[in-house]
Amino acid sequence: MTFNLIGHSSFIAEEFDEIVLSQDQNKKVVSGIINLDKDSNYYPSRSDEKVMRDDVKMSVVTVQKLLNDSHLSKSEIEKMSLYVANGAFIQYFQKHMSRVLRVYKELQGVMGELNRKKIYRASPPLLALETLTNSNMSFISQYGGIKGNNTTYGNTSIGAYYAIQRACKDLLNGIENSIVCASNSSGTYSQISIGSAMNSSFFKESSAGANLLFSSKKIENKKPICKITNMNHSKIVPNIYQKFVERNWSQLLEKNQSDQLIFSGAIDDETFDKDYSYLTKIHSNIFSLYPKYGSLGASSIPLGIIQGIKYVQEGSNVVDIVDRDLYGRESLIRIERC
Amino acid sequence: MLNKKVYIIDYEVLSPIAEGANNLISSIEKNFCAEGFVDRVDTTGIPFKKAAEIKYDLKKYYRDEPQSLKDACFSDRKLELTVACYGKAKIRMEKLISLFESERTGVIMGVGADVIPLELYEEEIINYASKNLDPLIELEFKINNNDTRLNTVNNPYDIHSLYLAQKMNAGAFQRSTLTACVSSTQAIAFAADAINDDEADVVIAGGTDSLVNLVAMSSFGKLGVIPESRDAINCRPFDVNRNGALAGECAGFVIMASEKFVKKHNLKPVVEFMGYGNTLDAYKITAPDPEGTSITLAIRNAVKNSGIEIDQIDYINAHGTGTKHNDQLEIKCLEKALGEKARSVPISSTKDRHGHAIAAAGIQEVCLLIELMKNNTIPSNLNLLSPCDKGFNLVRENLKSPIEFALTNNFSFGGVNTVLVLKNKMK
Repeated sequence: MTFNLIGHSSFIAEEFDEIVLSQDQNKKVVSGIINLDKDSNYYPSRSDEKVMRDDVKMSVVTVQKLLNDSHLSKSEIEKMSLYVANGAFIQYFQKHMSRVLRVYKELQGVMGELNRKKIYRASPPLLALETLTNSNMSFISQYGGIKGNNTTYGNTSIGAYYAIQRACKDLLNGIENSIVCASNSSGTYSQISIGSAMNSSFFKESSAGANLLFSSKKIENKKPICKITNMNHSKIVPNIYQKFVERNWSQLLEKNQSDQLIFSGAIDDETFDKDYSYLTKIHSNIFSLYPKYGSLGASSIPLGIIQGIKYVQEGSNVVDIVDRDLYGRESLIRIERC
Repeated sequence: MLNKKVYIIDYEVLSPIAEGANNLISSIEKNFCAEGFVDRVDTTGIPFKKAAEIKYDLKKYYRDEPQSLKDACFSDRKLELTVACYGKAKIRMEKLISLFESERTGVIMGVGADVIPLELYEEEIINYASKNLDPLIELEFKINNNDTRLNTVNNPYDIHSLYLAQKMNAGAFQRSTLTACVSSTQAIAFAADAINDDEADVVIAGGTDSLVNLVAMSSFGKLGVIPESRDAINCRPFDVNRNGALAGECAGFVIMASEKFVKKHNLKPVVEFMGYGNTLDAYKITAPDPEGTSITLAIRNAVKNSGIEIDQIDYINAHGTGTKHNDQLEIKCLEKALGEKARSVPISSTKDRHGHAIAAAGIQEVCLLIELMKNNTIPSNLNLLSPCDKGFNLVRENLKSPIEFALTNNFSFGGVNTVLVLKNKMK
C-alpha cells in the first residue's frame, strides 16, 4: 500500500543557547530555541498563549497555514483525523516552580501549617493546563477546526512513527484526510527526563515541529508531493535497565536500497559519530539534521521526511528515513517520488 | 468499524475501592466509597484534603524487583501502580502470558501527566535552596543519576508500556496515549484497531495515573476541578448540588486478543469489544463545547461502529465527574445521540465511589463494567440525592439486571471524547 502526502509545514530552532543546568552534576545542554511568529494571523490569542509551550504556539500557526493552503473544505477538515507526537510537556520548568521554590528557600528548615499555606499559595494556578499532555492536540483542534479520530503519542521519537502509521491506516479504513503533528520542546525538563535516561552529560537538542497532511482523495490538477511506500520498525522488547546503544538498522534496510538515507537518534555528539560510522558502511548517501540542530526528539521523523522531500524534489526517486528512539526502538519510513 | 472480532480475555486493576478486579463487585454491592482524608500526603495548609486513595500496601507486589525500579516506584506513584498491578496479576496470568508470541504482542498504556513529588523531597529541596542552587534541577539530576535507562523521577512516558512489555514479552510495539481523562479509553480502542489491522494477535491495553500528590491536588483544586474539603461528601455526580470531582488513582490493564488467538488456544473471552467513537471538540482547552456536538457524535459513532441498535444498550457507565458543567452536558448529549432511549436506559457514574483517576479512568471503568456484566449488577449513583435532570434513569439503588451491551464514556480536558461499546460474552 502507498499513502499520498499532499502537504507539509514545519518550524525549527534558529538560535542556540548553551546552558549549565547542574553545577553539582556537571550537566550541560545546548538548546535550540524557536522564534515565535507573533505577526502571523494564525498566532493564538493572548489568553491561550499564556498556557502554551512555544512549540504548541508554532504548531498552531503552522497547522493553520497548512490547512489553509490545502484547499480542503471546512467539513473535510472537521472529519480529518489528527495524530500528535510530543516530546517534553513542560517547557518553563523553573518558571512554573519559581515562586514555590522561593518559599522553600525562605523556610530555613522549618515546616508548619503557615509555611504549607505559603507553598500552596505560591503554587502555579494554571499548572494543570500548562502541563496538559494533550495541550498541542487540543489547541490544534481548536484553532484548526479538526474534530475527527485522534490521539497524542509520546514522548520519545518513535511516537511520531506511531502517529504516521496510524494516520495512514485511517486512510485505509475510509477516512479521507489525516494529519500528523509532531513537536519537540527542548531544554531543562527534556534533559532531566530524556538526557538522564541516557546519562548524557552534554545534551544537544532543539525545539522544532513538523506537520504532514495525508489524503486518499484525488485532487484535480494537483499531484501529491510524495508517497510513503514502506513503514517498518524493530519488533523488540527494550531492556529498561540497559544503557548502551545497539544499532540494528541494517535489519530494516538490508533489502531496500534507496537513493538517500536520512537518520536520527543521537542525543549527543559521541553517539552521532558512531551512528554515522555505522551507516556509512551500509549506505553511500547519508544525511542527518543532528550536526546543526542536535536531537529533534519527537519531531525527528517528520522533519526527516520533509528533508527527504527536498531530495525527491532535487531528483531522488527513493529516500529512506530511519530513526532510533531513546530505548533503542528503530524505525524506517520510505518515501518515493509520485 | 472493526471487521474482525476482538475480545477481552483477562484484566486486572488496582483501584481505591478494590485490591484487584475480583474484589470490585463486593465493593459495589457494599456501596463502599473510597472518599476520605488523604494519608500519604501531608495536606496541612491546603484546602484539598480528601481523595479516593489506594490505602493498601503496594510494595508487596514488587518486592523482588531491582532496586532502581523500587526507587522509581517510591518517587513516581503512577509507575508504582503499574508495577504493582502487574505484580498482582502475574501469578494468575502466568499461563496466559506464556502463550504470547513477542512479535505479535503489543502494549498501549494511557499515562497521566508528570508531577514533581515535592512532598517526598522537601528536606533536600530546602537544603539545595539554602545553598543558592536550583533545588529541583540539582535534586532531579542527582536522583536520576544511575546506571540504568530508568530515571528515579520523570521517566519518559513509555516506561509503563516498556515495563509491561518486558514482563509480558510484547515486542510488536509499546505505545503511550497521552490524552488526559481518555488516555486509557483510547488505549483500549486503539488496541482493538491494532488487532483488527493485524498488527498484533494480543494487545495489553490500560492506563495508570494518580492525583493524590501535593502538586496535582493543588493545581486541579486551583482550577476548580476538585472542591475544597468542607462537606462530609464531596463528590455527587448528576446531583443538583454537585461541586467537583473526587481526586483518584488507579492502574489497570486488559488483555485483548484476536478471534484467531482465542480459538487457537481455546480461551474463553469475557467481553467482545464492539466499537468506539472518538472525537475532538475543537472548542476550548478549558471548557467543553456547550452544544456538545462532538460528544454527541462520539456516542453516535460508538453505537454505529458497533453495529448494534440503540435499543440493545442495557447500561451506560457515564463519565460523570461531579463537576458543574460536565454532568449536565453529558446527559444532554446522551439524549441527542440516543433519543428516547437515553431516558429509559440505566445511567450511572461510579466516580463518586472510586474517584476520577484521569488517565486511568477508562481502564478502571472498563474493568468495573466487566465485573458488573459478570454479576448482572447495575451500580447506583451512590451519592445522588437530587438528580440534575429527573427525566432520566439515573440509578438510585444498585440493581440486579443482566447487561449484554453497555456504553462507557470518557471525556477529557481539552475536548477529547471517547466512548466504547462492550458486549458481555460470559453468558
